[in-house]
Amino acid sequence: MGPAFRLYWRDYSGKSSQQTFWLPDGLTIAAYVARANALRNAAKALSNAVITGGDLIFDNLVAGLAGPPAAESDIRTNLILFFKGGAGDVASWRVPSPAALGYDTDGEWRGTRLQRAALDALGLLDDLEAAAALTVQPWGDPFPSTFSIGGLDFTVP
Amino acid sequence: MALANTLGATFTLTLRDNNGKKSPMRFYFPAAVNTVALALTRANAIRDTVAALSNAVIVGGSVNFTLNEDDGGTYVPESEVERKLIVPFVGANVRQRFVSELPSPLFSIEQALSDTVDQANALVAAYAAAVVANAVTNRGEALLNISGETYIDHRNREKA
Repeated sequence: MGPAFRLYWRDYSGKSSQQTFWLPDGLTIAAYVARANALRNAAKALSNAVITGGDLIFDNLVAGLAGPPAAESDIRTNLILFFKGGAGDVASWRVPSPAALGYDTDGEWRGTRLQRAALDALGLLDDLEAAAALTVQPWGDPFPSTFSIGGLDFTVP
Repeated sequence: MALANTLGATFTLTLRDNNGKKSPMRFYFPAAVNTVALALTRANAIRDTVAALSNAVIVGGSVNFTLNEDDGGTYVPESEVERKLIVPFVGANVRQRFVSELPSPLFSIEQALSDTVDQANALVAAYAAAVVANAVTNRGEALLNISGETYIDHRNREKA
C-alpha cells in the first residue's frame, strides 16, 4: 500500500473517529498537504463534527534488515540508553532485546550497566550520538545527544 | 483554515525477536525534516544504529508527518461520529474499490423515510469530486467515480 492521509474527527460527546484516504506515490510533502486539504475542505463542508488534525502516513517506508533474529533475542529485555544535554536535560532510548555489548555486572538483578568507554571500544559511541542528534524531543526541543550510561530493564511476564 | 505540516515527523521502527514478538521504537524528527527523502535518510541512519545495539531483527519502519489543524471548529450538539455517510468509489481497475465513511454528515443531506443520499446533492457531489481528484485505491489506482448507493449508516444502532 502507498502513502495514506488520515483525518481525525471529534463529535459533541467527545467521541473520536478517523477517515483514511490512499494517496499516490512519489509526490512532495507540499503536494500531499495540498491533497489532504482538498479532501479536508470537502469533508468538512459535509459534516457537523470537528476536525482535530491529520497524518500523512508512509508505512514501510524504511526497509527491514535481512536475516533472522538471534536465537536468544527477547523483546522483554530492553537496554535503556540515557543521554544528557548541555543544559542538564536528560532523555533516553529503549532498545528492545539488546545485543551483548560488554556490560559491567555488579551481581544485582538490575545491576548491569553499559559504560561510555565500553560502547566506544565497540566502535558504536559516535554512531549512537550522531543518530540521537538527528531526532528531537516529542515537543520539538533538541534531543540531548551525549551518551551517559546504559542499563538493562527486564519485563517479567 | 487548513491542515499544516508544522509539527515535524514521527518515525516508528519495529523489531521482532525469536519468539515472533514485536516491539516498536519511536523517534521524533524536527519540522525541518519536511520531505520524504530527508525523513528516509535520518530513519535509515537510526535503523542501522539500532541494528548494532539489538539482537532482534528490524522488520521495517514507518514515518508519519503530523498535520496540525488550525481551525478549532464548533461542536454541534447533534454531531455523532458513529453516524456515517457511506460513499463507494470504483477505481480505474473496476475490481478495485474505495469506500469512504464520512463521520457525522449534515442532516440537510438526508431524504425523508430513506437512508439513501442523493448523489446530486451539491455538497455530496463536491466531496465525491474532491475524493476522485485527490485520492486513489489502496493499490494506487486512480478513482473514477461513485459506484453504488450513497447512504447514511449508523453504527451501534439497530435498524428498524
